Amino acid sequence: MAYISLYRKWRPQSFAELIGQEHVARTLANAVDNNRVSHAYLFTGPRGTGKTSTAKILAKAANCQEGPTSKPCQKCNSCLRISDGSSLDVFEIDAASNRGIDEIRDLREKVNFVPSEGPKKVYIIDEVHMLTNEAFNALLKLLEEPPAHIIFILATTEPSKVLPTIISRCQRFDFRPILFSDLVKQLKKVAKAEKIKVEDEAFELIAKEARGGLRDGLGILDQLASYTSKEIKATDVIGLLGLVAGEKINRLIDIIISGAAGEIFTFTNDLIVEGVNLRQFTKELVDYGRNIFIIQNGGADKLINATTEEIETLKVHAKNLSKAQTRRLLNIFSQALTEMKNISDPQFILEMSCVKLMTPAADDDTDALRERLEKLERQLDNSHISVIPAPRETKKVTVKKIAPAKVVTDDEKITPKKVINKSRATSAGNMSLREVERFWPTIMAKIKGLSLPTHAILMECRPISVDNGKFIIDAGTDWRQELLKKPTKTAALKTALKNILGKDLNLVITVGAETNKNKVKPAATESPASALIEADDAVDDENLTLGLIKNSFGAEIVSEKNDTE
Amino acid sequence: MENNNSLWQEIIGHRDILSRLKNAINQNQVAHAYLFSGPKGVGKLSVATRFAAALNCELRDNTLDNSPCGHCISCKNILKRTHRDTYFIQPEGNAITIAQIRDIRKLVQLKNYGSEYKVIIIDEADTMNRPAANSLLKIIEEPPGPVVFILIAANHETLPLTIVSRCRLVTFQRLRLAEIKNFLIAEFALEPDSAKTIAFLSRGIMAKAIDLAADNNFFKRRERVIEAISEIKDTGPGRLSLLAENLIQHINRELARVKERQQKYLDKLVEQSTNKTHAGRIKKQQSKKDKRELARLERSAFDDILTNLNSIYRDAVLLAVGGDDNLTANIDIVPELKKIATATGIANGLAAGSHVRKAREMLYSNVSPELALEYLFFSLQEA
Repeated sequence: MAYISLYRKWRPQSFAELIGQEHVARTLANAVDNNRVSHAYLFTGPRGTGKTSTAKILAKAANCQEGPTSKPCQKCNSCLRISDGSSLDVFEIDAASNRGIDEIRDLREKVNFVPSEGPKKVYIIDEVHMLTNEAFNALLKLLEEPPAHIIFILATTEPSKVLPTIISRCQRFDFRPILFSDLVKQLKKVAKAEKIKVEDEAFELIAKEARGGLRDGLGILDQLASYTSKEIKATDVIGLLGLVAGEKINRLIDIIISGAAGEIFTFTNDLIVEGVNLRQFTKELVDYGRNIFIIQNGGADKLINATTEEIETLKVHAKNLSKAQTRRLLNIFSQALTEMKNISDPQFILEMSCVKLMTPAADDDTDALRERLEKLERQLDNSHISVIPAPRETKKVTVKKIAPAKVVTDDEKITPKKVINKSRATSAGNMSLREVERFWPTIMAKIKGLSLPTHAILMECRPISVDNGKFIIDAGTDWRQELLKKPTKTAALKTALKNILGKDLNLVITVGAETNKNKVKPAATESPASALIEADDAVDDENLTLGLIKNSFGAEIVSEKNDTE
Repeated sequence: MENNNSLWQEIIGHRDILSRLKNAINQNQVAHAYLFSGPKGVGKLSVATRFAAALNCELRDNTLDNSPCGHCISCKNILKRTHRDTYFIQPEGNAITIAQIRDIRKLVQLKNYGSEYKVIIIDEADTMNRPAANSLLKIIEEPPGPVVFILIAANHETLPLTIVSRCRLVTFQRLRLAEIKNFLIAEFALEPDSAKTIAFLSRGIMAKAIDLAADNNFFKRRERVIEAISEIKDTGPGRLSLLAENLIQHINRELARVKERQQKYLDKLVEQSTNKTHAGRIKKQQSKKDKRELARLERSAFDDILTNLNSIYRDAVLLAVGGDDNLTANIDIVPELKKIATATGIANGLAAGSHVRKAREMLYSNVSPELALEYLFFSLQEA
């Protein structure tokens, strides 16, 4: 005798045995007892929640020789034959393989014959969502007014695929995913009856993994039972399902909090050596992140899918991670999960995601910026940086560091005739090469949207400066200069400039002297002069930041210390 | 295959899975449906075949952990795929169709030809289209008679939940680095460092490791990739296309060799055939097959380049954030990597990594490889 899986052996045989579907069981039982059984039902719900089982129970209840009764006797001929699937009056049709109109026409013909044993003929049409459109429509009339001895039970996991005209002709019952506690209870009951010894924690793990499907849960239990003849421990479940022990996740979160990105690679290497499934790991990491997120936002403990012990560590982590960090963790790793689905390179993806999470400076996502800001604020709170009311006398800003860098600006080489205005006022009509370049990518992006040809030409051009309401641009070659002077192109450029810089500017298109041919975009490419430009950039950055701080906090500069040299 | 080693022993890795399957046979608890899920090329089909053999072996030796003997008629036939009660279902064209599943339904109703179990192995079950998957549901839930279904899928999450919940899920993990490394050293006589690099790049997939180890061009190709990386940042668009073009030509040269070999074989086939119609048919069939092989090779060559790129950028990021030198994938060229690491930095390294992933996605969704590579180079330059 072949071995019968637990989930087949333990199919519920009466309404009372149904797990977690009280709303369905009670309604149907009452309907049977009050002789109000309808002619068409639609059972919907996720896998493993008892749709097909309920259909069979209903068939039994309607056909039991003891009567129509909500408590079928399980002893009469009819009950027994329905249980072992040999009844002449109960037809289980697999709509997924018999999905054409011909099968339905066939059904129409057979429906008219009276039942051969009991009072009712029951058609259970499983996986009904797979019927073709024509088949559905052929079923409509039949479903609306079938002969008196017929009960149709349609079952499906995807009600959205069933025509609304079908749904409106049926009594619809939605089966719910089975609750965690109900799953555990039923698993315990089955294990006890089957004499399978299982640790309590293992039950919880199985139920967690079953995710609302009793069949899944029993399937796992079944597999575990054949895995070992001794007591089933939580570690067995972890091994069998490739689950990741919580301590590993804890360690990763600790690394993330510590900020030592180099450690990530040691960590993933360990995971690989231990044979951990990285996709599963990432999945659980996202779950964990969600739990942290719940705690940080003041959600109730009962929403958290974890044991009491785990909740304690969760709370510690929730305190040490910032909200923005948690949000980024969720975003980055959910994305990593989808990427892992398509590409079989989980290690790279996991590692890169971790490094990305830990280096917000390398990420221009808004949450990354927010995280950096939050960090700044925290440092302010912890008074690493003190803000002291400004005494009068120190108004002078040391420009020592700025001056030498400024003098050697590379500009002269590029545009001999231009003298860059040293004023730092970005808002005025004058801007230096540096500042123009800062805006240049944005301007280019704008132009790309306005006029592609202009964009193409400008890719090879270089902005030089803004001087007295004139935007000066170096076209590089004569023909480009010619092209740019055409009205359509000029108009596009002007619109973009107005849009980005907020004022009307006149265009001056020059052909620069002696430009380095390779050096098309000075901002993006490395050149011998790059070191100097870099230095200049740093100074500029610092000044901009200073300005920003001054504006946003109304601060004044007290004194400046040069801590590098 | 006929040595003293048991057939189980020939499998590299997956000890826990084997012991579970053995246990199931021992305790007469063989389920009616299994789902073997795990990355391509780790040995799912090998295990499935041996499991099928074990189920039906005439001389099953319980002392040798239920290993199939490998030389009874049943075992031999299963290994040769000619066994009467063992069926191998593979995608016809790109997918497993409902027609194939309907055939299975019929097969399942028939009595066995005298073996204990009818075994139905569905390879690449994740290519089943929706109608096919749905029509499989009822038979794998309650098959009549002693039938064992073994579904094989690279990723069970692409299968409908309704299928997964009916099967006993067996997840195959990637092989461990050391397992592959030792295998490569033993079988291909590689240097430990090279073996480690290949083992690392194979991402725990034996089939890939063997491919890489057998490929003489592997290290040469990586050199080219590194050259390209170091040039990418400071060249104009023209030169950039040229770089991509160079790599493509490198691949095309290899493909040309394969093509030549195919042509020779085809000529030979035509020569040997008895009459003209026959020759025509053979020619048509064979050239179709050849074309498919070429396309596969082309794609996998590009895939290798992307893997190389990816591993180099990954190493660069690793070094840039101060990770351990010993954990680099390309452990044999750490000094070069360090140069790349300082040149790219963390942010660019990360961006480059995601560009490579995007290019790979393009490749998988049938974008022409040349286009994908050029796109990649241009976006790498911008990064």
